[in-house]
Amino acid sequence: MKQPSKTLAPAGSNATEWIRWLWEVEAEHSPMIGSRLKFGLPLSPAKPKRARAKAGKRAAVKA
Amino acid sequence: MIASPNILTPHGERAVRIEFGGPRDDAATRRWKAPARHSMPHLAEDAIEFARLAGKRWRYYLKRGEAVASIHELRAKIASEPLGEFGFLLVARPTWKPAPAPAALGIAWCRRTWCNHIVLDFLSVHPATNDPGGGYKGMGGAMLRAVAVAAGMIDCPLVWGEATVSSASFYEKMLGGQKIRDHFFFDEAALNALRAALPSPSQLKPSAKP
Repeated sequence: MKQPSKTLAPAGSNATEWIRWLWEVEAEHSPMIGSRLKFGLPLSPAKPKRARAKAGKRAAVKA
Repeated sequence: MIASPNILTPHGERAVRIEFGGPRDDAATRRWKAPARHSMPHLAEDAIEFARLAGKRWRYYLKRGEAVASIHELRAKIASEPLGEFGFLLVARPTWKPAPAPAALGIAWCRRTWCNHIVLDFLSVHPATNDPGGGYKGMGGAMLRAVAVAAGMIDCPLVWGEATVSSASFYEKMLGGQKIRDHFFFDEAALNALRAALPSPSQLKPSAKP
């Protein structure tokens, strides 16, 4: 008797039916979480302080 | 290594290796870029921003000596300071060759709180793997399963997080249809279910080895 055809998982698959269902859920609904304001930390890096010219040089520029 | 779950890639099922991240992983996520084509550009933007913010948090904890880079380190910290708060980054890496360009396919920034719960502050997957049209599926779920495994390693009974407007429906479905608004809880039963979905080490394919 012919066996009913089955949908076989790819060789070496370790994904359960539940995992496969979860993949489909994830394809439609993003799992990513995070809050932009949670920590109040700006993304831009702090600007380096400008080097201060030596006193002699500043005096020369003034003159 | 924390876990080695399979995800779906354009080339079929492949195992990812999820482990504790180190300072280099922060640099890797800072290099995440949105692909030229993405069917949902806002997801690509979210992925990059969340990864960078998680990296920022990681660096902050690292400076304060409150970040850990291995399960042994986490257990040691908890043993020496049971009420301490410690942060860790879980990173998913590809195990197949040729490896895709991003070294980190997904990240999860977690905090172990003073009462031994885990707060999932950030979960982000690389923009190339969160495009429904790109052939990848399951990276976020794989990260969540690794978080459940990490929780089990420190006898943590609860993982919770803040759902966003775009992710609440994912957690709603994942948690059996219960109404999720801006927060979700994975209790022990849910964590056990997540862990049970993982393969045992003997079931891992040879290609899953690092």
